[in-house]
Amino acid sequence: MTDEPTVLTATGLGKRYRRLWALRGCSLAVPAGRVVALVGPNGAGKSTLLNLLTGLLTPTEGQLRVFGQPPGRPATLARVAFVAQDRPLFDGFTVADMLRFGRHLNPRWDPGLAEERLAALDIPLNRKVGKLSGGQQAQVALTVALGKRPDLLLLDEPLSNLDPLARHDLMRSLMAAVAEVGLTVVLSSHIVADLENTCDWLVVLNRGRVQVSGDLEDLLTSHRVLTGPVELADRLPADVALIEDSRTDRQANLLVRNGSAPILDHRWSNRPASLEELVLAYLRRPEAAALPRPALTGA
Amino acid sequence: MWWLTWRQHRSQILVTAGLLTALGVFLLINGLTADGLATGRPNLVRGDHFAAVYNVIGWMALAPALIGLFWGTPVLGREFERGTHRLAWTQSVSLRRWLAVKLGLLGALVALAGLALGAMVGAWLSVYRGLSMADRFGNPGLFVLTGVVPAAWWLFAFMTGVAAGAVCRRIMPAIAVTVAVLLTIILAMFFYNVRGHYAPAERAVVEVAPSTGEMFPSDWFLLDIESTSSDAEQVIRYHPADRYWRFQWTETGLLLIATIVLGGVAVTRATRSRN
Repeated sequence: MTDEPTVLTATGLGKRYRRLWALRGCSLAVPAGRVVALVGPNGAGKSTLLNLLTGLLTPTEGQLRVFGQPPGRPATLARVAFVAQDRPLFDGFTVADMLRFGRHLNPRWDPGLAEERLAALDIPLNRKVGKLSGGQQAQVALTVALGKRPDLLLLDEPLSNLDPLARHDLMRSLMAAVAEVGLTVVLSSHIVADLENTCDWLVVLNRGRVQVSGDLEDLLTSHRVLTGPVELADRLPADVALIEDSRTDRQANLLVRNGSAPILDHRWSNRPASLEELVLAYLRRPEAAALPRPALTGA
Repeated sequence: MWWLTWRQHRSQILVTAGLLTALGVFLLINGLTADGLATGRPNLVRGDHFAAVYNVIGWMALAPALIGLFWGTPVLGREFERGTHRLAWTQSVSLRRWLAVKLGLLGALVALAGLALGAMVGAWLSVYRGLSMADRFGNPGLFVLTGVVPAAWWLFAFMTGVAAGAVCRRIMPAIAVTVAVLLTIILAMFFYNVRGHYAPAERAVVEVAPSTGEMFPSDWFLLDIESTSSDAEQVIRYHPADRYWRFQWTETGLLLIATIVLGGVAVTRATRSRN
């Protein structure tokens, strides 16, 4: 894993608004080519992190690198596309104007890609952006981002306020684009269900800290849900990390991270944790963490 | 960036150009008719002709409030209000360049429009030379509509709107602040006769009720009546006509300094939005 090139690295990253820390002590590395789910409750610092990655905000402390460069420089910005929260677009522009905007402000702009995408989605070029449906606006915002031919695509709550069909369509067309051009995507959401089946890297942010960061499949296979007699709960191997522990008089429901050896005791009913269970378990225990070895975060 | 600036602000640009053209045609027709009047006609007829137009364009002294509102406030205020600054400033163009093109291009256009206004009103006034009330220096209402001062006022008003938008980050409060600030300054300049103090005034003794002609030349800038020395005479403080350009450049300089300060406020606020 360490020899995969990293797209972004954060070291001790912190961001303070007046007296409130939105993000603190945040260390993170994301390998190239991943689709990263950035999850956490409202106010966890997801938007702050994404805005820092675009240079719209500057860190209060720590270091952030995108493609090895500080974010926000024109050379870095040219490789990064951002769809901000609420998917802002110029309401008075026509769809064609939005594409012209992309072309005039981006040297790497791909007019063919943008026009073909919109044609495939049946979005008329001469319609005012403000007159489009929410789902169509989201598609236009995504098109403007993809037309830039970014190496890193950042999406802040791309699915908020969309109906289920539009959410599904947007995710599907995003995944199609990812498969086609092979870029790194970071998308934030507070709804975990949106991200299942689409992401392969998970970052859980909670109260301004990174709680989990890692390959999604590794995380899902290493976290187990154990159900069994309550007296077994205190006799787990020492290197098994207990993330969630809920007990009745007779039965214990645990979510654990495997130690060196799998738990083979047949008195446990033992199954892999789902993404939602895993995320919720960590969010309920802010002091628990599942982070990669320090190798990835660098010196 | 040039295309984006044009696309986002073309309605202001076109409406301003249209209104200035209409004003120019209006002034041209009036000027030509007045010029056609035999010079022997009494000043009264020419005065009526002049007043008909002046009653309208006199209000142009308040135009900077509109410039600040329509040209200035949207530049940053609307971007912040709608969150589109997150879209505009994350393309491959640096914030510095975005600001430079937007402020530079729109500022240049506003200044050009102000210069056009000054030139048109100046040309129109040349028809009424010698008519009291129609002097570009003697009438403070015309001083701000001729020469380079309109350009300075419009540029200052534009930057006031930009800075208000950057500070308020929302359109309606920015508009309220811009209009209030500009109207206060414009009216205070008139009511407190601020321009009269750009240079030490000259003194003259004039007849209160002259038997022929005016009390004093109409191209003098009257500051105040200092004292009444006798029933027939009084002492006035005034500025002679040859100070017109000196006063024009003084006012332009003051406004340009204020514009630069406001531009600094706007740029700092836009850049600080990152902190």
